[in-house]
Amino acid sequence: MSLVEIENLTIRFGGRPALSGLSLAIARGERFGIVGESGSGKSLTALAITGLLPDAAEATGVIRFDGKLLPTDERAMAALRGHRIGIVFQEPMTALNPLMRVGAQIDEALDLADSSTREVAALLQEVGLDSSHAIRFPHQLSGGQRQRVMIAMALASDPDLIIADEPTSALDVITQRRVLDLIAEICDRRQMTLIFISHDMRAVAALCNRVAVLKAGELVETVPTEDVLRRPKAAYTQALVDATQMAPRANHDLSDQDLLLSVEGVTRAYSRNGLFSRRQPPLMAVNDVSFDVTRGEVLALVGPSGCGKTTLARVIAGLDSATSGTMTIDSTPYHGADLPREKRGDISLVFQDPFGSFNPRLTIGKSLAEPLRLLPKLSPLDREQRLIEAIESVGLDASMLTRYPHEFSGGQRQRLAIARALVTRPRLVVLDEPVSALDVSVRGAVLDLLARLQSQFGLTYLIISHDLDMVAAMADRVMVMEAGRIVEAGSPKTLFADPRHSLTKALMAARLPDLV
Amino acid sequence: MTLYILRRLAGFLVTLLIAAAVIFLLLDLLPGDPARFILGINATPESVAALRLQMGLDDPAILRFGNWLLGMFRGDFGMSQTQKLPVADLIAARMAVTLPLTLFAMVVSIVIGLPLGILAAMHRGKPLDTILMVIAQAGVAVPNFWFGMLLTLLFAVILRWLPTGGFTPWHENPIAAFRGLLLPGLALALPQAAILARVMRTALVDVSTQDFIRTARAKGMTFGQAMWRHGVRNAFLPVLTILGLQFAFLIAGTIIVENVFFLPGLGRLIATAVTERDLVLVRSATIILVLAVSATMLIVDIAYGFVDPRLRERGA
Repeated sequence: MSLVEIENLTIRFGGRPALSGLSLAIARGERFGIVGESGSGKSLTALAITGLLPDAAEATGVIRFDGKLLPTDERAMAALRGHRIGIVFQEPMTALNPLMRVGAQIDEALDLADSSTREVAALLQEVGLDSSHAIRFPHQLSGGQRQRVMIAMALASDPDLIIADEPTSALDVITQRRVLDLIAEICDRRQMTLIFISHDMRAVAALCNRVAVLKAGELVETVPTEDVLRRPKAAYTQALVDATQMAPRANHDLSDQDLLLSVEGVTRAYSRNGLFSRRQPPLMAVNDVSFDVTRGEVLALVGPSGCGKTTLARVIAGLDSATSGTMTIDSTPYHGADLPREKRGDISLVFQDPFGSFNPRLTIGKSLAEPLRLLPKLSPLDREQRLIEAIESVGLDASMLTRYPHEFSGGQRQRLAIARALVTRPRLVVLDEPVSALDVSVRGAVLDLLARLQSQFGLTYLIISHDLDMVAAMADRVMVMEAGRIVEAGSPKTLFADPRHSLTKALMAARLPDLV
Repeated sequence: MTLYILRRLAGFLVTLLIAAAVIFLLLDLLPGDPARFILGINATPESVAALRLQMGLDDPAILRFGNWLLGMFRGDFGMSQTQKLPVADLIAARMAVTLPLTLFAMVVSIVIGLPLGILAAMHRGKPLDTILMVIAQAGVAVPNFWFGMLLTLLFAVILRWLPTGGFTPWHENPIAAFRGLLLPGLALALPQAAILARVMRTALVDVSTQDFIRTARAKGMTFGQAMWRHGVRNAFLPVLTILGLQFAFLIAGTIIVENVFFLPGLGRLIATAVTERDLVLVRSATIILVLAVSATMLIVDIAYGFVDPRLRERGA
């Protein structure tokens, strides 16, 4: 008998359907994946099963758990969640109460499940954390550790079903792989049913035996994982599988190009000494880093979270200053924030988060025009021309300049962020995780765009990422960074074929298996 | 945590010193000679000079500032020029009225305001929420002296339960003293309670959309349980700031209510001192208000540290 049965589930917001007529049956012990793009209704499905839909949602249809209809009484539904369903959410940063020790938060879940035998320490060990972490507060843990705490909490009631909603998309590659492996291992050991929700077909394939593909609130197909990969029936499923493949785009001939940027012995240290605190050695976020960037090159900087790659990018872009060392762009030496005003237009930045990087109260046109303050001599007509040129070059229409950020999808916003980086006609564009906040299905298109713009405008890219597949597809040269130092460098082909440093090896091992 | 408290304490002391210097300088720069003012316009230049010498007015400013600080440290705030009494005694007598009044008003506003705010937030969007917030809006808009007059009309004139005004000193009859403070305390508390209720509601509604509330529900709590166990403490952070500001406002801002109820409080003492140009008294009363307000902020900051583990660590 099925553990979860969904019949004709429709969820509307203000009359507009977000999920239409979904029917699914998930068998006991199954590892079931739900895959789709943002807005496909996959998270709503999870919230509906757990009775956690927002107040504004109107749901019709039938959901049965273990043969019984979901209770309508809030207390009974809460008790069902507390005893039989464990849930792991996407955002490890905000999903825990910041004012409470994590041990106490796990203990609370044990209490609610009326569990007398299991202990916090045992649960922490099961998710691979030392029991001493129980007395920590959430802000004292890394993203991966917090996600482990979330999993421990979900396991507290020894549930029949565990639902994981994009549990790893906020984590770096190595941590992501570890958390996925942990979920797989726990499901095996405890014979639990899993519902795994993701936009990444590869993550679903690595974990699940059956997968439902959702598109714009409708079920495309439900198939065993092997069939999805070997002979997908629906064209959309094929497209999702194809999106996990990244075709190589780089390989520029750089032999006769001259030097654009040179970085010499750059160090960024953060002092940890306070007014009353004891002397501590400074934190070396970037530690004696040197490299050259050739004009027209695509250089990638990879490493795990906290290795200093974003700090280095900020120093190069002039948002922060090096503690020691110098950089030279076009024979102008600088140390960071002292980058001369007339040179600032030569370096642009594109940030990871296309939602947070636009002021919601400014029109796109105003946001895009802001970097043009660096070029005060531009006439109003030229400014207008620049904006139109920039937005059209990223494949969007000039009429969109009067709209506001919330009217655009994540992929479109990232295109707009790229357009903003181009208005000053820069030479060097620093791209900090340019696609990691986007659905897998739109990443390819944004990367294609970046490759096209590069050859069209003769740009030089410095790409910061932890995604080896993207780097392998885009970069001419890769530098691997660990704890503020560059530990290995080379062309992606040779580097990934024969990794020498332990970090490069770990990054390679963390890659999810290819689908095709 | 010790480090956090030490830093706050250092900040508190520096604030006090700067405030003292500013108060001293401003009053020192004001035109007018206190000695001549005391002796009257008919005084001979010789007697004025003698008094200036006696009061130490001819010493360099830095010396007078130091003497003033040192005196206050020993509890000597100087003599009031108009009332010819030690300033410390005058202020202490008034504090015996103002401090209990303020504390009483704070307690009442917390007891009324916070539960109503929580109640409204738990029923957000429903009729009870709307009704409570309309009442709170009215409570914020209506000035406290008007509440005072209404309360007097009801409890003192019609029902005759309580006195219309005046104050019996604590040592003569503590019960009568407390009865004298009941109505003014309520009048002060009601607008503050309305503000607190609104702040508490807004903070709780903000918290209710946070991910960790959803996590708590996922663990098996109802919405109400999740809000009670995880929401209220998080929502308390902004409320704490408002509480501190309110206490500071009440201690210095009771003058209108004191006038309505004929209470011999600190506000009236300062008002009289200002109109009579009693500079010694003004200076000392001001520094005591600064002390009270800074001490409140210090307590709020330390309370913040206890509630929020992130602050203790940063020590910021």
